[in-house]
Amino acid sequence: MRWGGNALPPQPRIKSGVAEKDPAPHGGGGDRAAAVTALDAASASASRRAPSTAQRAASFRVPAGILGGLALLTAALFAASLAIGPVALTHIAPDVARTILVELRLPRACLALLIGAGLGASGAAVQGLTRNPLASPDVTGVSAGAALGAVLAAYYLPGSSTVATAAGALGGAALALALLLALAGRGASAATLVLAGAGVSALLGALTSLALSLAPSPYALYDALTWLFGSLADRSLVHLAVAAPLIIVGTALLCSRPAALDALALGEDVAATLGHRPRAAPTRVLIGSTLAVGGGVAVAGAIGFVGLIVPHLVRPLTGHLPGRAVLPSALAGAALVLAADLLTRAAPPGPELKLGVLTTLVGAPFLVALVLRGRADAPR
Amino acid sequence: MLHVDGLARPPALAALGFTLAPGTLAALAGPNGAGKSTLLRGLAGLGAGPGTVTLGGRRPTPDRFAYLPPSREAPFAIASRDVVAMGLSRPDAHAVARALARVDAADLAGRPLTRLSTGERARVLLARALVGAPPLLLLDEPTANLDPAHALLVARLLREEAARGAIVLFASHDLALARAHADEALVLSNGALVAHGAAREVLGGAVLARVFGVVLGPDGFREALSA
Repeated sequence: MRWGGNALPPQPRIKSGVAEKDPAPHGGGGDRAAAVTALDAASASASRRAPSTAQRAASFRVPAGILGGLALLTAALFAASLAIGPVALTHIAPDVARTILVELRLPRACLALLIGAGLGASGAAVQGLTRNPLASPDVTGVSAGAALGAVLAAYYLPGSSTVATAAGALGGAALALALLLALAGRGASAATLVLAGAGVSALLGALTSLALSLAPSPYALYDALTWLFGSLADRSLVHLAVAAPLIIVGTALLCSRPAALDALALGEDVAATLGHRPRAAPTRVLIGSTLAVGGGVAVAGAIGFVGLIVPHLVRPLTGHLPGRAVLPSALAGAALVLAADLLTRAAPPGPELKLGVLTTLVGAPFLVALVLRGRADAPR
Repeated sequence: MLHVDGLARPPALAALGFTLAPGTLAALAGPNGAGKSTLLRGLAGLGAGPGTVTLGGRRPTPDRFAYLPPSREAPFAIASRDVVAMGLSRPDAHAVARALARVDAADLAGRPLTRLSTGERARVLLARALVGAPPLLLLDEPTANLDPAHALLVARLLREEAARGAIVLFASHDLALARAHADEALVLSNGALVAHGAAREVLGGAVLARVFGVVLGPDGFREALSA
């Protein structure tokens, strides 16, 4: 290793002879103060570089090629999701084909796109917020809360099952967020959030198990269980109308102000001194992921591992900056869920291969591979 | 001028005040738990507590000071040059390269933070604080984890920063380095400012014996006999 110290010029002492010979403690007199005011003013004007800290975001741009490539991939999978199905649309009456396309395939494809985007963005943002690359949206307890709410709603709420389940899931997600904030307190550190999230997640998970074991009827239990596995089969435009606004608003919140999450990688103190309000990022990420994940779980059940894996695939493409990875993770999450949903439909006829089961089947080995590779690559 | 008046962060730090002139390189010394990090955080506007801090008559805004925390943790594999760029308000590849070269980390520009040794990471994180050339630098142990040659390099860097007119306040346990390079020294003990003056005087025998309980002998520091 080279050491450049010798190349440095001799120490210039250009302190206008003020503090140099008079490093007296505690305000060495008014003349000295007057003499240095000029220096102060000069350094202040020279430093007028950042009229607003929001401009710091400009330092980091995701390469357009990566965003474009991911968008193209997502669009292609979306088109495939519309085109592929048990019935070939070209061989049937046009009005029937139109009905199948608009009322069956379009909601399914749109939901896969939105839910994947919400999970990918939530995963990337939660990992950035908690500064933990192995965190997933589940660590906040939002998924567990949504699942509990949906199961209870399926049992007890009368009326249209779609709206009731969705409302229950959202109520559960909101409950989880409220519990998390109550436990961790406002302005909590990342470590506190993770700990509180683990507690909320475990509590709500246990309550879900309790609710399942107290199912009013075997049919209710079956319905609740299959719903929990996560699926996009037979979703309608009503499901889409329920979930879309929540996921879109949540994902937009998560994708805003990426520079704040980037700065958090250097610690909460550094982020604050770089001008990012300390409480803004946690609030934004928690509310955004509650909306995006809660909206998804509300209509499609739990789809595991997407939020954990996608940021890991994306971060190497975006220089490992956690904030910069959020938007591409939304696109990659959309592509992944679209692809996984296509796979479940490609499976042989018979009992449905659940989307949530498939993503977890693929995701778990991936996680193990990740941990093993991380161990091999450990710095020391 | 940096004016500090009545700054307190209970229970670690009692109310204290001092003034530093532009172009001053000041060392902050004191035993473990004396309140050095708490003071630096307080000057950076972190932590709740009373007191006023003004820089050139105004509250220091994020673009007018840089704070280097004592932690060298790095959870994500961000490249060194991207870490340093976070200290700038707009992209400037030349400034980033220059800052990395100044801390002898030019060859680490493309290396992820997670693949650096603690000392290398410390220098890259220091470059992040220096790159924007702010008028106030608050550095918590910038020479910790560094080998003697790099500690000397950093001491000279801080001298250069002071020479361009910046106020540099750095915490350090390397009393010999602080005494040799700093203009002024502030000594904290049990959350109180017990000495502030010329580094050569303040970091001399009497204060060392009183605050740290050590004296400087021919073979380095040794414990002072209790009075």
